[in-house]
Amino acid sequence: MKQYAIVGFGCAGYHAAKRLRQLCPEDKIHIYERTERGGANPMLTTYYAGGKIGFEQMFPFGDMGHICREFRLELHSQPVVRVEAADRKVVTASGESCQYHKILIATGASALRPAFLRVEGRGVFLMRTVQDAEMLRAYVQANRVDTAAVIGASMVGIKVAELLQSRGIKTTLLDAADRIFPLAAYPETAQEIAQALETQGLRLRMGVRISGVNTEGVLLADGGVLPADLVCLCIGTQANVEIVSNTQVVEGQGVKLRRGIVVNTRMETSAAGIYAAGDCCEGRNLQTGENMIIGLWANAAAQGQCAGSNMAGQPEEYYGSFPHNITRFFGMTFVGLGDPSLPGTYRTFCGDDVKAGVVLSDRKIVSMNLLGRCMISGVLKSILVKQLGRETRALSTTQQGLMEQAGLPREFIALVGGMEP
Amino acid sequence: MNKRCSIDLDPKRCVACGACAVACMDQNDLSPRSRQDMFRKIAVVERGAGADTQFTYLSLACMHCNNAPCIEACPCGCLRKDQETGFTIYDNTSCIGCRSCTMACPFAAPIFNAQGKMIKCDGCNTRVKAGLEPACVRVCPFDALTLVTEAERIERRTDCSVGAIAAAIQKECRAT
Repeated sequence: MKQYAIVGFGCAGYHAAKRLRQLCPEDKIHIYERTERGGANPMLTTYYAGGKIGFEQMFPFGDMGHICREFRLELHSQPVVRVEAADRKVVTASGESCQYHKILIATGASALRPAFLRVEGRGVFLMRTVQDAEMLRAYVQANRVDTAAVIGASMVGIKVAELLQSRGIKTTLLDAADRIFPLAAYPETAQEIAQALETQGLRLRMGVRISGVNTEGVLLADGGVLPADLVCLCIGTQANVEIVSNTQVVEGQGVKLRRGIVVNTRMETSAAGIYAAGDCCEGRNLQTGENMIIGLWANAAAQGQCAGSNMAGQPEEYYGSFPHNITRFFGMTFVGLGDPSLPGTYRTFCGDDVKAGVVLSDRKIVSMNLLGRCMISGVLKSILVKQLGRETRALSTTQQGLMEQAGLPREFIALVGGMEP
Repeated sequence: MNKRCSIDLDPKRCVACGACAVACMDQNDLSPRSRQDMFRKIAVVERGAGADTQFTYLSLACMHCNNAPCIEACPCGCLRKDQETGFTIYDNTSCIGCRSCTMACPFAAPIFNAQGKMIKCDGCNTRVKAGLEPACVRVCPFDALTLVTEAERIERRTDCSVGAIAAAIQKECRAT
């Protein structure tokens, strides 16, 4: 009987465990998870903090006890301090050490809180974990909050700003970048979003650097102060890689790390027997061919499944992904496909209830923005995937029909489909 | 049963009359007056020019994919497979209206109701379980839409099936 270990039980850990159990009915699967809860979705924390969903709804896989019984998992709630790859052992904080045959690191990511930022006083929050959501929710319910500042015009930042604003709190959204969603939106799209947000009463301060946060509010790098009763930091995430940061199989051969744990298409790290999946690892960006962290729920699910298969000895490859987001906020829907900073020819189109921006190169989609009714975003994503995968450019009649039915202009359809207009 | 059912379209028989779409609205209480999207979409696709112009008539809804990407994409666990029919079904009680399913679906199947919750074609799961045909299949005057099991669909000639095109698109999408 083999012993498998999975450290971290979020989306990637859950899917790996499920796959392992399907393929290895007899073997032991050990789960190392501190929270003793059944995998929360970080994306749901803002919905809980804003009172839109109940506590249990943050855990889409259900109760941990139930999951453990269903897949016959052995749960260890002690935090893992390190992985000893040479001896294939996991060591927990209580000193317990367990042998493994293969191990998956699925430790996820944490909200970024840079060391240079001086943070003092109460009323300062992060937004990533269940605990972050509980603290923010409790604080706004128990305290009088008139003004708030959200630092980071990210997908999380905008949701936090929305939940605060909806409580009647005068909210300002700040970012060092010159526009909202700098990693996903074109300047024109960002401008349009900004106008719509300001119409709805949200204050925006783009292109400002901050030096700290204290009881007064946000301290700006230019010496000014933005007064705020509550401050939330949403400036990004960092991969949780501590437990393998000093792992060495033999002298000089450890788990390769960059911003995240580096994995190949089978989710193997550079150390034998150690796999990684989800937000803690770097997979391949299909657009650039380079490794990067692609922190998406569905990406974590696919990587987890792939890791589970390979750990069980059934070869499977996951070729990668690329940044893509759909976000609903302040009554708008925004879609960002691909990296907006990659070069190409920029074109804009207006369809029925939707505005589209697209960058094309060599008659292929490089990146795209949609603003408005975005029901067609999955069709467009599938076209981009197809163009990344192989040379055939022809649009299927199904895809063409769905896009025409959605009211997209013919020229746009021809262009993104790689057809002669 | 456990048949992995889907509703297949033979585009060579379809004339885009829309009878299926109307039957679907009736069955699922969807009103076109509400400016809401419908489960079933009718399209006439034109290709080529002049004497070479080719028309394709389509009626499209959820393809009930084998490895449905919407199921994994949903952060709230609203979507799942019916064990008996294999249709992709849902319980939108926990739906937060985030549109993750929209981004995952290559066929624009998930839509949103007035309450902001996801709804979609469920293959008329209840009807099929009771031994009836889905509303769209029942009403199709040319037998273009049919209720088929996975085995039956594979047996058919691939050029006569939207299901076959769909399977190819799904395969490509699994890469991400």
